[in-house]
Parts: sequence; structure tokens; C-alpha cells
Amino acid sequence: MARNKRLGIWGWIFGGRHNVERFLYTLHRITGVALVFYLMAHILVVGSRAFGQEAWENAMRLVGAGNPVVRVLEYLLVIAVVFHATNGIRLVLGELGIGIGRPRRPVYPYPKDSIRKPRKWILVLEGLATVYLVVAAYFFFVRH
Amino acid sequence: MREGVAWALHLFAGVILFFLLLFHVTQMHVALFPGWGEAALEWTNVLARAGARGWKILYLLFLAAALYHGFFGLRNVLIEISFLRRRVNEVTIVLSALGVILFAYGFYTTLATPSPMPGLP
Repeated sequence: MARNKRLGIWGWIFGGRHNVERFLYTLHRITGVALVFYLMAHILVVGSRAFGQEAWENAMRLVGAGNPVVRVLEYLLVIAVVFHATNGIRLVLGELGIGIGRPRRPVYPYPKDSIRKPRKWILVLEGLATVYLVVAAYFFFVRH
Repeated sequence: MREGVAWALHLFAGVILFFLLLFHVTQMHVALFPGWGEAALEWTNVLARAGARGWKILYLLFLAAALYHGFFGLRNVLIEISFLRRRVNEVTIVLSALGVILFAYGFYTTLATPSPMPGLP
């Protein structure tokens, strides 16, 4: 236990209990950190609009807007955004105790819904995320 | 600010972002309507959004929610790193300062943009 407390961010991978929630937890943190760094760059690039049309168009050229490789990178960004948003809503619902079943004493035989009820949110929200990403892929790569 | 209040604000900002961010990503990348998708980056469309009061309010709310949620989340990750675990105050101060600077720049960007073109809402 003492060793586990010293794992720090390595605990994202080596903290044990490699169930689906642990996988989502690690992905949530990785996408979150990536999105913060993207946000900082995004604010600086979008800020060019305050300096007029030429500055804006130069900034768009600099970041490669319309370039096929950049389009793929943008799609990866959208995957990160949609995953982080839907998984985040699942975490908020769990934090507020919505849809996760009533608390019960951990007495044998254990209630079956203690794990299954929260997991329905994973299926629903990540299912919606997948549908969104398929539609977005059509607009990204076919009809843009 | 107490840790519990800061955490509750983090969740609240996250819920706001869920709606604003998905709308923003869809508008910028999915051409469902005229002026959406690639066309959203054209200067006339950028100018039209930048000049409308409603968009300004939305962008400022978006900016504040994204920076607070993002930097509070980054702080929570950084203080898990072993050599930063005893430097919570320093990490909080540095990230807060960075967040305030970025908010000030974003605030300036939002308000300093030229007025809307004649004929646009």
C-alpha cells in the first residue's frame, strides 16, 4: 500500500485493477493534459484575429488549415475532445450519485448492480461518442 | 479557495464545457449548415461572429470555463508527480498566473475585434 501511494502518475498504468474504469481514467487524464496544451496554443493562434484579416490568414497558413495531414490531426483532436467530454459527464454523474444504484452494505452475496449500473453510462455515452465521431469523419474526410 | 469549492467549480465548468465545446467543435469542423465546417474559418464568418454581442458573451464564458477547468485539472495531475507533491502552493500560483494571463489575452482578443460588417447581424 505504501509503495502504491508513491507511484504518482505511474499509478495511472501500474496502480493495479486494470478494469475498464482504470483504462478510461488513464485515457481521461492523458486527453485532458493534451487538451490543456492545445487550449494554450489555440488561444494564442485565435488571438491573431484581433490584428486584422492579414494576421488571421497568416496564422491560418502557419497552422496549415486545409492541409490533409493537419485535417487528420484535427480529427484526432476531435476524438480526444469527444472522449474527454463524454467520459467527463460520466464522472460528474457518478460524483453526484446519479444512475449508479442505491448504496448498500457490502455483505455477501454482493449486489450485482454495484458495478453494472455505473457501467451503463460507459456504454451509453461512449456509444453516443462513437456515433458522433462516425458522422464527423464523414464531414472531415468526405464532404468538407 | 477551499479545495471542495474549487472541485465543485471544476465539475460545474466541465458541464458547461460539455455543451459549449461540442457545439464549438461541430461548428468549426462539421459543415451541417452554411458557414460551418471549413467556411467557419473564412475571414467574413470570423468577423461576423467576432462582432456579434451574443458570440462575445459566449466566447468569454467558454474561455473562462475552459481555462479554469483545464488548469485546475492540470494542477491535479501535476501534484501527483512525486517531486511536485510538496509544492502544491507553488504549482497553484504558477498555473493561476498563466491562466489569468491567457484569460486577459483572450478577453482582449474578444473585445478588440473590429465591429461587424454592414448588413451582418
